[in-house]
Amino acid sequence: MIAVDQLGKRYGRIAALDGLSFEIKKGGVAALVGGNGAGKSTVLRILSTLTAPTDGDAVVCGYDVVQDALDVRRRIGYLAENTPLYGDQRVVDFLRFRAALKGVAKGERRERVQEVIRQCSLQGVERRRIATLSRGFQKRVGLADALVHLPEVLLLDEPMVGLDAVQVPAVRELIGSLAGRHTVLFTTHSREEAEAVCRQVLHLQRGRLVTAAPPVPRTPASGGIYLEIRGDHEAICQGINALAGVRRVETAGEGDGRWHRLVIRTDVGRDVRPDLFALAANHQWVIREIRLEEGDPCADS
Amino acid sequence: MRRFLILWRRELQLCFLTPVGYFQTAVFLFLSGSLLAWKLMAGAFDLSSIPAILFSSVFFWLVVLATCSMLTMRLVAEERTAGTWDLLMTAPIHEGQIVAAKFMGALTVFVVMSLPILAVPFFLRACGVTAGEIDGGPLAGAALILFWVGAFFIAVGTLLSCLTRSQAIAGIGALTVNGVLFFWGAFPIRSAVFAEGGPALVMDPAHYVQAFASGFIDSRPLIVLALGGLLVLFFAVQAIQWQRFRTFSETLNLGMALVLALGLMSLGVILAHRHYRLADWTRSHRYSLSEKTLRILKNMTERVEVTFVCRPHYTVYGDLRRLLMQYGDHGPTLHLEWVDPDRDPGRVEELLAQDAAVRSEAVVFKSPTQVRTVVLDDLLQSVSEEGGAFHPRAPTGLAAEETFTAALLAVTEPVKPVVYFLMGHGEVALDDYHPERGYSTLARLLRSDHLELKPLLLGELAQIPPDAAALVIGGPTHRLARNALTAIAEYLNRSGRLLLLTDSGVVTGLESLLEDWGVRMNHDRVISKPLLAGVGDALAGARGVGVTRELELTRLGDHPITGPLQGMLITLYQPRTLTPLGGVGTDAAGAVDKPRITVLASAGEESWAETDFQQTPPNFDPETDRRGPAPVAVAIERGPAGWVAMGLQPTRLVVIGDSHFAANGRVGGGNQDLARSSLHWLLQRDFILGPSPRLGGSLPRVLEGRQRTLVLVALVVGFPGCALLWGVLVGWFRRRV
Ligand SMILES: Nc1ncnc2c1ncn2[C@@H]1O[C@H](COP(=O)(O)OP(=O)(O)O)[C@@H](O)[C@H]1O
Ligand SMILES: [Mg+2]
Repeated sequence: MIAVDQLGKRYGRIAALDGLSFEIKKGGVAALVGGNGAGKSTVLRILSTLTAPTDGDAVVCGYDVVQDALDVRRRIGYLAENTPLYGDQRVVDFLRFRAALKGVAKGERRERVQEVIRQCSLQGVERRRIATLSRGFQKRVGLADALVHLPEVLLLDEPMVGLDAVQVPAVRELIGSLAGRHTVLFTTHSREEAEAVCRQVLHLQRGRLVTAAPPVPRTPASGGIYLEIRGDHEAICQGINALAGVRRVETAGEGDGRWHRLVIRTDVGRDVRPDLFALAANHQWVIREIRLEEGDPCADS
Repeated sequence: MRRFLILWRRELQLCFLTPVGYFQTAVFLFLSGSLLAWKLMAGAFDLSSIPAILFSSVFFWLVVLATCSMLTMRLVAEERTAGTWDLLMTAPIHEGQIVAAKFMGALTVFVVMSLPILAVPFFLRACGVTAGEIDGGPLAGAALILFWVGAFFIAVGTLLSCLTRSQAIAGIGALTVNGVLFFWGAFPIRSAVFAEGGPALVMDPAHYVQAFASGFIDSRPLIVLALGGLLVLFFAVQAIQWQRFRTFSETLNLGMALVLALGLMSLGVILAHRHYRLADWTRSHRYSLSEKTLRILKNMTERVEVTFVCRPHYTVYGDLRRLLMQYGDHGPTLHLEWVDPDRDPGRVEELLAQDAAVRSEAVVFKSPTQVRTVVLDDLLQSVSEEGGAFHPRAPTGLAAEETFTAALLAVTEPVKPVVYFLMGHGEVALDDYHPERGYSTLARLLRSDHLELKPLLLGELAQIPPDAAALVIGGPTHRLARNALTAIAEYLNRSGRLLLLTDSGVVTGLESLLEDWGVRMNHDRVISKPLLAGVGDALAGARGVGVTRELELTRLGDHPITGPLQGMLITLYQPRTLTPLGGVGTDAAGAVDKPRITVLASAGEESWAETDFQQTPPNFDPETDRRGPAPVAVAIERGPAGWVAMGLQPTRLVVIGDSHFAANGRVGGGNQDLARSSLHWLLQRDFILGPSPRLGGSLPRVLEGRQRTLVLVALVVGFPGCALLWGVLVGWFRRRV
């Protein structure tokens, strides 16, 4: 269903993708895993015809993404990384508009829209304007949009980011359930998430596929906890440093706005996560993401 | 197509379901409304000229320019920055559909926005402004060119919005590109492609925009703008497709496609300039050549070279050029040439060598035998002296057509017919400037018809000069001398031509002569009731006179003289009635010696022939007076009909029961045409019959006190205020629901 052969994409002197080849069978679910800047989004943008590769071929549903862009577009549902949506529209109106645009027959439109609203648990917010929804809901609206015309191929860029703890499993389940009827390729930076959903996991590093490393033990043995937290940066660093078992706190990449991205290096075998939660609760810091480090999450950034 | 409609609707939603579109509309209406209000306050206008008044303002077009840029800058750039562009580009839609929908969306909004400003004439009429009538033609022309130019602006704006992520750059870019194209006027190809001799592009927008708004339609700017717009949109589609690749080879492809499209467009532009149409959409056919000019052009057999030597900055360059182009369209033997003396001094030298006085701006008419030059400064001078007949609204220029046609006649007619005006019996004089009793204006008009006019004092000489092409007896006040009468009778018998204008209450001695020719001149005068009874009664109450001495001729006969004048306003001043003897109309063709009499005009039923000259006020007395209709002008012809027998010439007479109608003060409008056509028919100059060039329309008016306030408030506050209010309501409603 998706066949990628020696795919390359250069942005000037930067090679975002380099000799990438893989194949996804019809009805299969595959995940692209890699750190920031690994090239995941670039693969999906090429497959969704948004950008053309500089080398190699990509074929979706038997159509070349460069030559037969329109045929490819007819058969794909694409969820962009940052989930752009028309904020001025209501959820149902947006989905109806998109269904119409994607050629869902008039008679089926209402039914399809209701179906994806149910699938993506959007009941209750259908009449809200998209701009007023939270990120998580917006992501789900984007997902609903990708699904609304029952595309043969689904290309989902970071579908789980921004969802709350309850939603993540639900979306995982949803993606899992799409297998068979749809061919799904989604990206994530979390290997466990990928492994939780599908068997075909493609590891991407600096634009190349790498053979999957053996699963890492699920303890903080490797010595790091990745944390996204909101609050006063100074206070946070001080507070965490003071926790027993913490060796040091590193800033991991740029924070967005008031969110700070930290990597906490701990003593081997020491799990400081319960202490962290307690600390955050005490100071009313908000934790957005917390996970055990595997490899280096910000290798390329 | 379906997807196009969906996207188009979405664009409209964005504008009209959010307050933004209404605010933009309000700003547009405020700026253009204020401008229009200011212009309407400043001077006289009539309802039909409102579009032209508005469109003549550079400021208005700046507002249009800014509005179009504002409408287009967000189209693609905004979606790019928001990322929603990816939503469109991954849906199964062709880039062309997206561009078309974006373009049409903005255009629709622009059309909706500008409709109120075009409706202003209707609004003014509803407010009771009575200056003239609304003319659908100029209004339609204004709408057409506004939307057409707007569409071009929007196409350019759409392209620029496709090229950049920044709305600001897209907006400023559109403003600049459109501004340069629009205000610099002519595209550079004007000089590049058609440097010498070829059809120059008429692409000066300041010129054609004004023309359209005055009801003068030209296919060329429409086609050039349409082709240009399509090219720009095509380029926009190509640019979007290119953005997927951004590689060198794709750029090369894009460039080649563009060059090809540009070539095709240039070809289209050239074809559009070779085969173009002009149309006059005004109700009064203000910009069409007069029937008379058309007839002259159609009957011309000689080749005439018309050279327009004029700098493009000359005040009335465009108007005169347009006028001459119409001559060219209708005159198959006419050859037009445009010479800019600054660019082509050599050609000017050549013309000077051919006796053409082209030291300043001029039009040279040159037939194989004769040359005549109309110096434009003189033309404008004479026009302004005569009270500004060269109306800024009349691109043809009344005087210009008269003068050009006269020049054409002069170079094509081998001999100038000589017309004698009998003098010595109180006749109206040719050089008399008196408004009531002077023919100086008529004389000027007739001279411009290529006639030589001479006064004729018979005195001892008892013969009409042999070179007389016609004799005019205009309003004698005493009895004609016996020898004059014999001379006239004799003249008529040898195929003479006589125009007799004879007033009521005068005994001229020509009565018995005319009876020989089958017409009796009655001793009476026509008194008529005003057509508007109500107004008449009011006047009667005020002045004690229930009647009018002005007779509006509404019944014109079917004759070469009066046929083309149907519907024109011709007024006689209490004329005498004429009675054709022995039946009216044309007898069998065999009766060559019997005069054929045609009634040219009759007084209507509402009038009567008053026989009592002393009665004041005149009153209808059934015993003595006769009710209308009664003939007041007749044409008489004896002998072979005009063109049939070559050797034998017919005798022709035109008798009109009034001489005042052709006097200086009255000879405007249809009156001059009656006089001129009568003479031309007598001279068998059929090619020159018909109404002369004239300026249609009504008198411009100035707004009165209450109307001023109303117009000011409505245009500056009312229209934009409505849009604003609507926008606020929409915003409020959106928040609610
Ligand atoms: N439009 C672009 N111009 C230049 N470089 C880009 C562009 N898009 C992506 N890149 C580069 O390509 C690489 C891969 O990016 P991306 O596919 O977004 O990574 P990921 O989604 O895996 O985080 C990065 O180094 C990024 O900087
Ligand atoms: Mg990415």
